[in-house]
Amino acid sequence: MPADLSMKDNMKNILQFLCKWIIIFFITSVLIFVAVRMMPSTPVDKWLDAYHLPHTEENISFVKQKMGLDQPQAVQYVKWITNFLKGDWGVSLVSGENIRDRFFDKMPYSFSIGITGLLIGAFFAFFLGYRAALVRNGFCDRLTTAMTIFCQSVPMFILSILIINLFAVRLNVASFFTGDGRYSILASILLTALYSIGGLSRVVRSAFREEMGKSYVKFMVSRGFEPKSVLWKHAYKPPLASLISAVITRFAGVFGGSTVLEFAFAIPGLSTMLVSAMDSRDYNILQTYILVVVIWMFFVHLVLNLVLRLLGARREA
Amino acid sequence: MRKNKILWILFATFVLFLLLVPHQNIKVTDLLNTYQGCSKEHWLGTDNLGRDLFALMVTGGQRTLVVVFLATIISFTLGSFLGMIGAYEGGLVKTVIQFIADFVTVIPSLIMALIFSALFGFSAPMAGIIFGIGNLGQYINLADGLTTGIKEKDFISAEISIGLQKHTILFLHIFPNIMRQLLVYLGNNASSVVLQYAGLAFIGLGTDVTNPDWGTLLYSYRGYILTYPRLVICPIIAVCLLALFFHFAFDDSQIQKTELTIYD
Repeated sequence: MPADLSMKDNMKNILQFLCKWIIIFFITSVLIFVAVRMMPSTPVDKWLDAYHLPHTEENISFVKQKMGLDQPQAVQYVKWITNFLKGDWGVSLVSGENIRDRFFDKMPYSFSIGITGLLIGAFFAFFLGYRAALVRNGFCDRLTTAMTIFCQSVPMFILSILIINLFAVRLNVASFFTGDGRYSILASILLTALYSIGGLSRVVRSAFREEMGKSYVKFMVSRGFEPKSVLWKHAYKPPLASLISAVITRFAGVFGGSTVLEFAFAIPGLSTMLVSAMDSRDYNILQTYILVVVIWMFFVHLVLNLVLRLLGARREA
Repeated sequence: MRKNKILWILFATFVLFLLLVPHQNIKVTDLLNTYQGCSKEHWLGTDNLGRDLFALMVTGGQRTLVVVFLATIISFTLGSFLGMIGAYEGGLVKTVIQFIADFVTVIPSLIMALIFSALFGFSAPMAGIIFGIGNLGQYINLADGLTTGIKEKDFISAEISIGLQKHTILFLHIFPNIMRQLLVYLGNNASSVVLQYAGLAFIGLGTDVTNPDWGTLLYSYRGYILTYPRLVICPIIAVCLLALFFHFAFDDSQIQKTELTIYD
């Protein structure tokens, strides 16, 4: 009976989760569709400007027809959203490129910066958090606090200016704006890692501190096991679980977080594409970008919920 | 608390100083006197166009403060209000409010601000409103969690049973109890808004260069870091100090104090 009940409960939760995200998806799509069409200048104007053509009635109506903007807005919306759901993300209004191909070209840059940086940061954060929990007000404890405050008060782009200045101009060992951009990506990954270590290590630290107060740790320590190894060998699971959920939560920031870095290091990632699409008022790219962000967030939340459920189930058992 | 008082007095003088200090016209260029050092006429010297750096910094500071105040006030009042109501009422109201919280957190506020500033032009109040709405979700979740914890306590059930009105309980008895944690979060949030706004101005879509922000200044002077480091260092220090101030002014170390364990 209880198993059956929990099944029903699970189904209800899953349904609720899906419904919520479907509603979010459609509301966001309508909002961004309306928002881009409220812009003072249209892609038609920008296109005519780019080719130095006069803005005559004839030209405007021709370009509008070419871009498919002459149809009623409701028809445009339905066409766009059905095509998007079918996997055809349309073409750029300016260059006529296939948007999906372009997204998949650019995605590796943005995602490698965000995800690799976070994972590296999480790796170091775990050890630092462990050391910080071990010695209260010790070196690591103070270091992680200092790093957290540092991340909250020094913007990333200031550090990126300093890095470019130091390595490219003074020492002349790396070139950021010429070549294949591997130094730019490396620097961005390291910066992302640096900025995630502080907060994540505090998460690990407080989880370890919580375990330290529990009776099984007290018992083992008072029976004469070495305190360090008790913590490291037997109490590592709950802190690891908190670290994992914190990391997944931070995956949500991958899109926003890499924007400034991509701009500072001139990396041709998604945000650079977004910025150029805004310049040319490319409706299709802007709309698609936002929907991709929503889909990414959906997956992040889905994975987070699954992981939390798995960990919770294991803890109860 | 003593430390915080000193910080707040410093901050108040800083705000008054920004609002009242007379400064030169930021739009006047003087190409004969570019890259001047610090002097009586130009407290922080002049930049590549001969504009007075001090005047630019003051204007940037005013704009940053507008953004921070708008953003934190919107998200703090609206967020804690909605979160409290949702946790107190439960049921459908809570579901709707949770949905709002999830909805505003889906699109990162920096990207939202980027899009809106590109579309409708860049202005400080608009950036403040967008950051305020974008950070609403965290306040709702925080207030919701805290209120749910407090609602179970005996004094609330006692108050309900003697028939106190709902708004009295909510605003006079629940809110003061959760305000402390909310204010700590507000401090962190305010410093992150300072950084986000600087980043937004640094990217500078749709910015008007005659309205200088600290981020814009950093972007336009970044080439002079070797030759005239003063131009770059001033905005950096300003951004860092303001963010640090918000971090420490709302910091309440009593909350974070952990009990000693067998390891200490």
